Amino acid sequence: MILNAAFICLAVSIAFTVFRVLRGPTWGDRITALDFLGVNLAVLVVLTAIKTSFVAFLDVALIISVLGFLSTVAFTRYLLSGKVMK
Amino acid sequence: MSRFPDVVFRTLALPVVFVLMVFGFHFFLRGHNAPGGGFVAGLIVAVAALLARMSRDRRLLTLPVESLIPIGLLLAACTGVAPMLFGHNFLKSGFGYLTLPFAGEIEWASAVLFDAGVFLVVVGTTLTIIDLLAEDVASLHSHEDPQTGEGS
Repeated sequence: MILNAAFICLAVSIAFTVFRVLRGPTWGDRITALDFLGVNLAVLVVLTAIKTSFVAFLDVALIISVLGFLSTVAFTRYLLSGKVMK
Repeated sequence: MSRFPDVVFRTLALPVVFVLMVFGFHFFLRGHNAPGGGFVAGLIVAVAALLARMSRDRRLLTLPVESLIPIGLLLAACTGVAPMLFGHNFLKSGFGYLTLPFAGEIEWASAVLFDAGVFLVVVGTTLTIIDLLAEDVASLHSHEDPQTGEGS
């Protein structure tokens, strides 16, 4: 029961975040919203792991969070200085 | 490039790289009986190498990454052909059990060599693609002349 409530809260959060990604006046808003969308996806995967009691989903959550961090760094660096690599 | 001293990213990148390397190795060894395997491990290690390259000036691998692709293909092909020398089918995988000190009884499979080949191919391909994309973006920006504002 509490799991379904968490899923509903997460769905609302993802909907607002997607709205912010699509609307965001500046690119900084969009990048921040995409980072938060990645966090939301990781939480969604963790909730799915709890619901299905399948432990391998936790590794998926770890990889999603690391990829979200990496993409946020790459986007921000491209926004600030135009080059991702040194 | 030093206009934005990203201290947090530089400090955080190295532990994250090590954690990713350990997880990639874990996925690689787990892959025969559980979700994981050479492909996913190659992707994770490629992400770790990319993170190390973005945080430092130098690369994680000193050899050219394109050379990993033929090495991995050759390893996978040799693993596939080797059972034919013993009269088995192509890509026949042998497995067995051996007892190690401290680790206990573990299962070994010859498919892990094929997975190592897949791992090398995936790492080489991913890093080559990212290198080419980065060079493309860099040349795109170097062609623009800031004085005249004319781009190529």
